[in-house]
Amino acid sequence: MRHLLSAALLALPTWLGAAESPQSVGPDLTRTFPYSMVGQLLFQSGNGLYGGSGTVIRPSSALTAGHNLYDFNNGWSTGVVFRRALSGNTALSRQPARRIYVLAGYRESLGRFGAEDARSFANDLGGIVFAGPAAGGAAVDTSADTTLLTGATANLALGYGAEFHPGDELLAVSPKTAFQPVTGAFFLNRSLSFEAGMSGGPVLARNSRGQWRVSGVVVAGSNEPVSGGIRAVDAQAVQFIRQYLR
Amino acid sequence: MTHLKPHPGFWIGLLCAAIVLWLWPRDKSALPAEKPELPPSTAPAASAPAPSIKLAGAAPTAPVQTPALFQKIEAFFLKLQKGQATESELSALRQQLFTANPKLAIQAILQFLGTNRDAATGAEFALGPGGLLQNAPTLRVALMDWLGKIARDSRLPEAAAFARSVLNSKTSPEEWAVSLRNVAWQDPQSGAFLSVKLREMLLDSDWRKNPSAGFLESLDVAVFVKDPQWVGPLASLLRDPQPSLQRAAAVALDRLSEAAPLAVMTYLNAHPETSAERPLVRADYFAKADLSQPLHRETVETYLDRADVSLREKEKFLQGLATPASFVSDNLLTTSQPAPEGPGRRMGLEQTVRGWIQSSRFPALRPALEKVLAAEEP
Repeated sequence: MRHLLSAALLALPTWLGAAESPQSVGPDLTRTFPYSMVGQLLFQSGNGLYGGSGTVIRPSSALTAGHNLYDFNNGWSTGVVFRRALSGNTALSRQPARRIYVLAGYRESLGRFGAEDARSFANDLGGIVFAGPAAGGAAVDTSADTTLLTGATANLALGYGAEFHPGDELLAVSPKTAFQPVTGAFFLNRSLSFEAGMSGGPVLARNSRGQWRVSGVVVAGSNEPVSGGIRAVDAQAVQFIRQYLR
Repeated sequence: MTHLKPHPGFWIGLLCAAIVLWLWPRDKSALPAEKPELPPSTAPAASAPAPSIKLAGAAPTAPVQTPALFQKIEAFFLKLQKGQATESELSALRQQLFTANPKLAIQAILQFLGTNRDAATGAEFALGPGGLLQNAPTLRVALMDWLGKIARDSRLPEAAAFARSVLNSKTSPEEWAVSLRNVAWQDPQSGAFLSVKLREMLLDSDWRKNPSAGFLESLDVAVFVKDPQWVGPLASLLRDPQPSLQRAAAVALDRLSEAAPLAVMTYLNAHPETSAERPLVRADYFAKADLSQPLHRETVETYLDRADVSLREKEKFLQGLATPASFVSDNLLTTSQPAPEGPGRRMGLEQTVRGWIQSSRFPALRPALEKVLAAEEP
């Protein structure tokens, strides 16, 4: 299990087994709600340029994985830019982060248990705030109902994978089975795989009224055994979003 | 539930508890629970060491009648010992204590704490909003948490007095964490005392070897006291063999630099060796500056003038200045507040950067400064 940062130009061949693997949704769907709320997150950490993903969950804010925003050795990421609904060379909007938050304290600090420990992933959530609305005021709401992940509801994970794809197209993958809670807010699914670069992307589900909701954030992946890990949106995450993201 | 190693102070505590219970006036204990009164046990309990000890099967040391609230704690303790207590019963006990007459609730809690008995709850130490515990690992820790809240809400001094007595002997990091908080709540001027106690915690090799949640959360004391003298010790913890302590210290340093930006920047300029091995992280501490404030601006200029600071570090500082970043969490003593992001800070940044460009103050940084300015323009 590892984080899913994609170093620029990284491309590694691998065999992904029988699990569902991310596929391009195509340019049309990329620009259709709720897909259009997802974007690529570019940022610098140390001397490296990285790509991750994020989702507009409040008019002027995006939710992403905490490890996209902070690293123990290099501190806060810089040059954080969100390219919403990127497809090829064009994005529907391109906005730099004006404010960064990571939901973690002394105990839950990222990497406390090591970069590859599930307990670290359980505390891997962050948010960025823009100077103004990222999608004309539109956003995908979040849901702290984790039964949307563990029940019979279909899930859809999205992000800008750059491991086996070029990184400039939105990828989607749906698990064959439900997510399983591992520890805290970290949930795992062995019926799908994620690509590096999808970190921070949303796991979407439809609620009982048929509305799309962000139920989790892609934070980890493993090729052996194949599995995808997410940080579920729970009550703590919802509180964080309400209080700090606008 | 696990058995804990008996603390040397246990026998003293047990003796004190026996004395307290034996001395307890039977006629007073028979009074209705509503009648407010302070127990004679307050002083002995406060002065007794408070080891976190579970006495399997131990019975109260004196056959005396006790007030209703104490009996409720006692009953819950016995159930907890047998592994029969539920979370809802713990919540119910807390509710009963919170809604009772504060003096009686404090009296009952102190009386139980004075017995030095304890039992594990099976939960991990976890903080909730406002520094209150969401989960307590033992009944004693839960009671100390509730004691602190009741005493603070009713402006009674017993919690701090008891907390200071706990901090006289090494009980457990969790008991210390809650006690540090209770002292701070009661006495906001207790910074020096709290710093001394945090130092004691960090010097305890046993506690430091396997830092528990309470131990790590106690680092919030350094942020609470806003003392830049903590920068050095925290920076040295970044090299600790324990990754959890490294990470917690990194969060504490970042939050301290946010809470006291000028003091931390001044300290770092005066101690160039501090954090020198992590230059990009040091840049983050300076990035908390508010350039609309003249002293911040002067201190930042000193930093940017430093020959020992690399161009890359200075560039990162400038980028961070334009995009403030913060950790958000429920903490023991401090709150996570968004850094001031009003127009004043942004305007100060823009004006200062523009001034530096116009006066060619930092020629090597000109491209980075222009980038900051371009990002600030609407």
